[in-house]
Amino acid sequence: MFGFGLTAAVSQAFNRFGLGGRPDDVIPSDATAWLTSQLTGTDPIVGTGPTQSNCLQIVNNFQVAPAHSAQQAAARLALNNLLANEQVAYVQAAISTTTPFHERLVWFWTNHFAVQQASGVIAEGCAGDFVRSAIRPFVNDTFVNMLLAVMQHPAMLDSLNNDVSVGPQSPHGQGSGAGINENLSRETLELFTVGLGAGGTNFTQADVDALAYMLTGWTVSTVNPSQGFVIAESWHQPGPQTMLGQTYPGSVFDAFEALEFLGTHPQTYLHIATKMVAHFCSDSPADSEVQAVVNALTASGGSLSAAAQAIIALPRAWDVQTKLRTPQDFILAASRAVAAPNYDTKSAMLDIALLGQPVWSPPFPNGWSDMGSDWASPAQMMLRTNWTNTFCNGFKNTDPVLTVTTALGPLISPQTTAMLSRISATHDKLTVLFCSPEFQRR
Amino acid sequence: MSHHHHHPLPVGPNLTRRATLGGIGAALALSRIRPAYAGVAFAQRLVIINLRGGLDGLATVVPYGDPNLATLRAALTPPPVGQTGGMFDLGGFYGLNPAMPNMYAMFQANQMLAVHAVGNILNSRSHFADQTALQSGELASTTSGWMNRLAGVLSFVAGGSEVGVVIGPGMPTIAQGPLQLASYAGSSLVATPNTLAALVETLGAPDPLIGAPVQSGFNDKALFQGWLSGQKYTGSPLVTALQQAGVFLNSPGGPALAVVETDSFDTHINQVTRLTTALADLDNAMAALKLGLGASWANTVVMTITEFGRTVAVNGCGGSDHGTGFAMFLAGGAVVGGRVIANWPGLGQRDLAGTTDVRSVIMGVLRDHLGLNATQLATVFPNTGAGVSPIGGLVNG
Repeated sequence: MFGFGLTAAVSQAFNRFGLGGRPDDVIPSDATAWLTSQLTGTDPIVGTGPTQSNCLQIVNNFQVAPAHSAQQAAARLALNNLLANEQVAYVQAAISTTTPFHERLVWFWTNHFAVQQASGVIAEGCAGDFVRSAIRPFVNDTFVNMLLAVMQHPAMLDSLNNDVSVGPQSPHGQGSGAGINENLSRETLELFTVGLGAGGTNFTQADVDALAYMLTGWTVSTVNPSQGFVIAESWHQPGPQTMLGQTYPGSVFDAFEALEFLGTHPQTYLHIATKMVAHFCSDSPADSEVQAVVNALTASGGSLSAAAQAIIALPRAWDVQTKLRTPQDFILAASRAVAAPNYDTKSAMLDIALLGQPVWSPPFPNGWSDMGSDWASPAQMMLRTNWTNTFCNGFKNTDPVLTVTTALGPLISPQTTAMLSRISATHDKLTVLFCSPEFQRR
Repeated sequence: MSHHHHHPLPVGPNLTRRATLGGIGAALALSRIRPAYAGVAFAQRLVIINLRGGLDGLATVVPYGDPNLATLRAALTPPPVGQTGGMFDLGGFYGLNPAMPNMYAMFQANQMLAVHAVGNILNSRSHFADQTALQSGELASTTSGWMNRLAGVLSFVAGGSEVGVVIGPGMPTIAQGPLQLASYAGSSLVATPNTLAALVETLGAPDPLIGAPVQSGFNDKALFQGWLSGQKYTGSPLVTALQQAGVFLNSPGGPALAVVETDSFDTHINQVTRLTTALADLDNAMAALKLGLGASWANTVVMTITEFGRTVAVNGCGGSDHGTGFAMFLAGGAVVGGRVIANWPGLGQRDLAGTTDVRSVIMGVLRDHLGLNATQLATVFPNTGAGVSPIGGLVNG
């Protein structure tokens, strides 16, 4: 029977590190070992779903269709369907996964390298593939390998406009008057790798320019969908560039070396360790906790599984309920707690948007905040209450005792237990459970 | 600087009651008898619209009289004043983007002004660091936002903690802090049965993190429904949000402050198309805000803020990258409009220089519109340094 052997540590592992318990979970005997087991092996979703060239073909069909034609309308519909199906599949994976720590890490890194799907049709068509081919294969690999995959992915190149960035002194630039777009370069430095640093001292505008020049020509071929990422040599800015004190000779391959430098930089490790500790321990990361994760990254050549292992070892990662669930966390956890059927996933995907976090559509390339103060608002609490009230109508035949155990186990408060004991209707029990302060947290 | 505009806030007769409610908090609020807004005893209203992404001030309030404009950014500049689809003239040196006819009408009615070459508190060219500085109102601290501190000042004067409302599903930095501000998001008022809602509220109320938001949400629900029921909302999300903000501020006992965020202004590529769309949306939203405000328009200042302006030169993709100096709008019946205020630095560098501190503009409005004294201004904007002082004459005294 579910719940047997569900210790506080296991329940904490389900909620803090995972995406919330499911009634069909196999209860692990050792919470730490269960988490650690998810830090090796390959991702089951890699290699499934549409291929990148499938996605780019759908993008290309739209791009080549004559404006206002029936052909264009059909191609637009196909693109809409591709995106919606990908978003639903992404949410479905989170609701159904049996390796929820791994899946949380997938969502964490997807948010770190946030593609804004609405920024262009390539980003829109390839956002799902981005997670499958640039994030999932590298969650247990090194940070620099993930960075390199991200930077060569069509969705990212489009989302931050590098696909149209041209060296002004390149053959194409000289003829056309085209020039650089520094968007991807700046956010690579500021958001993806070294970060601003104390007082904004980690990089300068000259470093942004240099990386932007090195990335000129890194673009996307949709005309030939099987290619995807290409380096257009005729767009590449000639001449040496200096970034963060490193000088690069001017080759079209300079950006690879620059990204390897950035992806293994001590400030990058500090930056990502801080974000990980904030995500898994507390909205106020302690320096010693961050340093422990930096040490793990440094000693392992930037292994993300080593970093995750170091997080598990932090005592505060086991302090219960210190993180407010984001809207997506909240809906995913409630859906998991009642084993919401697959046909409800589209609703879940749309409701995550209604609560403020549309999938792959953060307003800025820094992704979504996971800080409690950013989400603890009256409107958010009302949205959650009303969503829960409606959602629980679908689960009136659920065993509420099972759901309570699944959702919170020993982490439920005496107040919530007492209140639930006074409610008879299953719908109302579930609503109160999911609106309880404990369930708002992970 | 002259203080002749200064008009102290009238203190309502319910000061004592509201101050007491604010002091003992949860138990009374839980009773859900009194609307939380009962104490806002003054007529002045302030709406902040945060144009996230970095509004290109040079393409919005276009300095067509600057001799370098045409050479540096012709591709981003709207057609000249007088041509079909051309800019609206703002007095001989600046032109308003043609996507903003409603704002131009406000300008002509002397109810809109622009301040140009405004500098943020931080000029890092980072959306995020610059927004944090803009919203927290200082460099040193991110523990509270300036709107929250302003609400603290006003609630002390007028009573009642919820003198401000945020439209949206999250809580932006500007509104975070010791006071719980109200918030509203579309569909946040969908019905949950009262008996069940009461259980949810009772369970959540004591919680240190979600308790205050839960209580605020349930306290205000019926009030908000009543307020919003008088108008129809059929516009874009921004248009709807600002119309609703206007309705809230115009409702008897409604809040004095509102914050709305929008995020369409990071125009790295295809700027003309994207900015035209975004400015037209903003322009429609300003008209909807005026509609929502009704009679309160006369007592309102609407202020747009943004984290930075954009590069003077066009980038390689028909867009512009992150810069520094920017333009702000002030609109409303309380504004002494029909002009553009700037210590114009000229064009020629990579960025437009910020020659007027954003806090000087905001502090001018807080002092002369909301009646804050020097001590209260220093609470809202601490550590300004010597060079930052309120600009007088922005609003009717």
